Amino acid sequence: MRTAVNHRFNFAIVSRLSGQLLIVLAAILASLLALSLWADDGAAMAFAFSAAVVAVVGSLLRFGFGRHAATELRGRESFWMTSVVWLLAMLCGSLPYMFYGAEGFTNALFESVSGFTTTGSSVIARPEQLPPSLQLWRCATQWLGGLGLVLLIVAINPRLASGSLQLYDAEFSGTQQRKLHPHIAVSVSRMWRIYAAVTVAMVVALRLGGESLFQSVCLAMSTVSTGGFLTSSSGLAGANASTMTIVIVFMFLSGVNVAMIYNFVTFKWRRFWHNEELLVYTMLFVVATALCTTAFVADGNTLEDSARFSVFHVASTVSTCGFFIARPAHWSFLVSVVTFLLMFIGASSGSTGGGLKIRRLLTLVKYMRNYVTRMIHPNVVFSIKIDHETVPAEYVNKIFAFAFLYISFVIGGGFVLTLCGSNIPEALSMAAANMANLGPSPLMDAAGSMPVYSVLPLPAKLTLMVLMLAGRLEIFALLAIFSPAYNIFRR
Amino acid sequence: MNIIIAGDGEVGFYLAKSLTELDNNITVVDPHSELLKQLESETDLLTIAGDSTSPRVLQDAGTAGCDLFLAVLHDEPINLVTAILAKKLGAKRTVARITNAELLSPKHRDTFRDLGVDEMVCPERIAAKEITNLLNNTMATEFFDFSGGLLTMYLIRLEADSPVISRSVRELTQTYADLQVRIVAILRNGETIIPHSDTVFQQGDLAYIIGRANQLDIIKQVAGKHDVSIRNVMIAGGGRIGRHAATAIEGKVRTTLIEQDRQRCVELSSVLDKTLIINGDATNIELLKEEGLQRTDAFIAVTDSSETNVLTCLHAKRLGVQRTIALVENTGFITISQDIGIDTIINKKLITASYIARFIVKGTAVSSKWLSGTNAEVIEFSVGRWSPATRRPIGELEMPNGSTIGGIIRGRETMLPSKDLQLRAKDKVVVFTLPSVMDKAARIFS
Repeated sequence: MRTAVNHRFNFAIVSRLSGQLLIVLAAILASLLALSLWADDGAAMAFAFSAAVVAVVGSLLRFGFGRHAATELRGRESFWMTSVVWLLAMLCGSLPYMFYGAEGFTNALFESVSGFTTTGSSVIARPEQLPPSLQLWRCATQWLGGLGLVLLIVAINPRLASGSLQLYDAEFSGTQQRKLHPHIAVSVSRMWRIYAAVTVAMVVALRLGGESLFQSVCLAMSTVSTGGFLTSSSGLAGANASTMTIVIVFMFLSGVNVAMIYNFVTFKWRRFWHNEELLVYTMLFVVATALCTTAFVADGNTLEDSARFSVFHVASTVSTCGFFIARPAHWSFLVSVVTFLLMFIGASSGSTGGGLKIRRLLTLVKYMRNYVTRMIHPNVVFSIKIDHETVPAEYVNKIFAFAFLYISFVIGGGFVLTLCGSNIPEALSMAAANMANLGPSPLMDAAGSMPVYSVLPLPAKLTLMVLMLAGRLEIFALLAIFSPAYNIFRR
Repeated sequence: MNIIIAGDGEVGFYLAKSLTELDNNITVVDPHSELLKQLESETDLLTIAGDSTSPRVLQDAGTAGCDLFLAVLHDEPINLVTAILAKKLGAKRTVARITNAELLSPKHRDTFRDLGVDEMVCPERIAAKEITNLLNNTMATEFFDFSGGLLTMYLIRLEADSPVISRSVRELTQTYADLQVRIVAILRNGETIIPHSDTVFQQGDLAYIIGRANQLDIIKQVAGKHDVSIRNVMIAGGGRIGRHAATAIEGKVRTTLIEQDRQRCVELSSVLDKTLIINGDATNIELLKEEGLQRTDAFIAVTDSSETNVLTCLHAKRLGVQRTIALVENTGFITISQDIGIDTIINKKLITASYIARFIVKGTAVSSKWLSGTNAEVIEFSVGRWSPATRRPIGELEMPNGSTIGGIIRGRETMLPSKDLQLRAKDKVVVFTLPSVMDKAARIFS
């Protein structure tokens, strides 16, 4: 990236664009303030303070430092932008929790990071005791973070021509996707529209199924963004059958590439049916469900219990939603193993889910297979193809680097968590679950109740926050800012 | 017939020479005046040096009113532009040589017809098709379908254990009463013999046999052939032919392709899904052995070098490979290559010429095949309503010396010629003919 080092760092543009995002957040906080006043739930002051602080900081950045910003954005700024925007948003997101007085700074930040990264790990033991407006904010952070905050900026800045692609790549699991439209801003706004449409569809479905509007909106935002926050500590235990079905369907859908949903609704069937990743994703879902069901039945549960839990559990894990329901009476060890593997695999590229992503794994598996062939035929030449398109060698290298870093982060995080007092399986599964933005690790707690992170010591919480962010920003955007080439003080 | 050929490459050169021999007026347009000089000194035709995409050059060549315009340069886009220009300048029929087989789909064909390209020919694709046909039909050296497979012509080598060696054609028909075939020609030591009932077969004869597809088993028996089942195929050379051939057979048989150029290998690997692509030199026999040449059932050598192709095929034969097919561009090599035991020779020029020849034989030819190893040709004629052939039975037709009727297709029925069979209009007649009498033969049916 020569462009990254050949010019002076453009502080103004970073400031301007982050300011813009903060103003959007302030507007959302202000509308929640209105809601809070109307519902008189006691969180009005918290939202008023938060909105004021965010609006002031945002205006300063946008109209103060960022007044004369050039519209050009280059590699170095793109990566900084990504990290700066996420950090700022997370700080702002923690304000309502703090001002409300429910949590201290670390816990509030943890909740905010978990929300924006769509992880869904929570330090709040009894969310049902929070005022509704704050609960809504909690779910809304996931929804905003679902498609990515930088994509939000790209969507509201159609003129941000150069650099948009790097932003898009930095955030949207750059798995060599074909854009939906020649203009990046149009592609991005299409993605947002699909995302919003799916969310609205889910809200309507839940309403028709008999849920309250508030519950429908919260659940839809948590599901479609693959977040996982719930409005009650008892999880979805009390939900009726139609809600369960709707949640399962939409969890599965949120793990699908947004572009595929676009192809589906615009009748581009050929692209839809010939998508290898979608096929593997579906097969993974079916096979894992069958395996888990069999394992549960073998361990003495009824078929109905086993099947119901397995479908829900697998959909929740592959899409990295991280919802949980009451477990069958006898837990099966095999299910723990399957779950752990699914956590690493994660959802489809271009979806709101996390993990290594199926497309990347598919590439790696194909590479490995070819590698074995090479042992027998030393002179063989091959290309790795996904959907009949060749994956360039440099890209394969990038995937290897990514997979290595990903696993290093999980092991490193697991190590720190062990030092903080967790046992090894628990630490590893917690690290993997948060890295994949899955949230409540299904293996953490044998009893099957919602895992609560508030009991963890500070270093453990910090570690988990880093993991969540690294998982959401797909590591490179986060690491880039530590590399000398991206040093902002270098000319 | 006034024919203009744009392009003096291998195909153009060969077409120009053979079409001149058939008594056509040929004009060759090519930018390379040196090559043209050489061509003009060897052949009786007109050459014009210049760029075929220039309307002025085309007008100079007499494009307005020419009967057939052939654009056979190396470059596909130039051929297409040339053909379009020629059509707009008044050529009656245009043919362009292409390399991208995608254009041959009916949809794109229509698009190009609208633009002015009447026919498109992709020699590499035809060659690849020939290769795959041969793999499906392992006993024949060469074969060619008429009227969509109703009649087939096989070129078959008579093996040592064939029961007909040292026996005559008459004896053959007496012994095998249910053998419904016609032997139209025999190739012996590079000589073409039109057999009559007293001709005696010898070991190693290459016999051109025309018959129905259901005659295959009995033909096999007569020729002393054994079935070869093809499971592993090795292709040497990843040029266009190699690529087309691999595309056609991969997935059905295990395919290994060897190509010397690394970059080309990478390109191939992105097109071919199931072929094992090896980067290496096909002349390196050790490499071929390492990649399992001994276990290969068919070896196809289609590198740029005819010599390499012939030599590697010989080597493969020696290691026990059942079928060997070599691309031999040098027409002088063809007979000798067959003599030394290579099963089949593929020649791009002959293939292209075969294909194009059907446009030249005065309008009645449906399809035609120029035979390698001999300059003879097999043409499928459609019998014209007022032609001499409809007035007399076959025995009384004055077929010129050097031509013979191989079979008749009437509707969905096929017949072998007999003395008192009366041809009707719209019958299809398969005729084997030497080039010198081709026009005379054509006149009988038109």
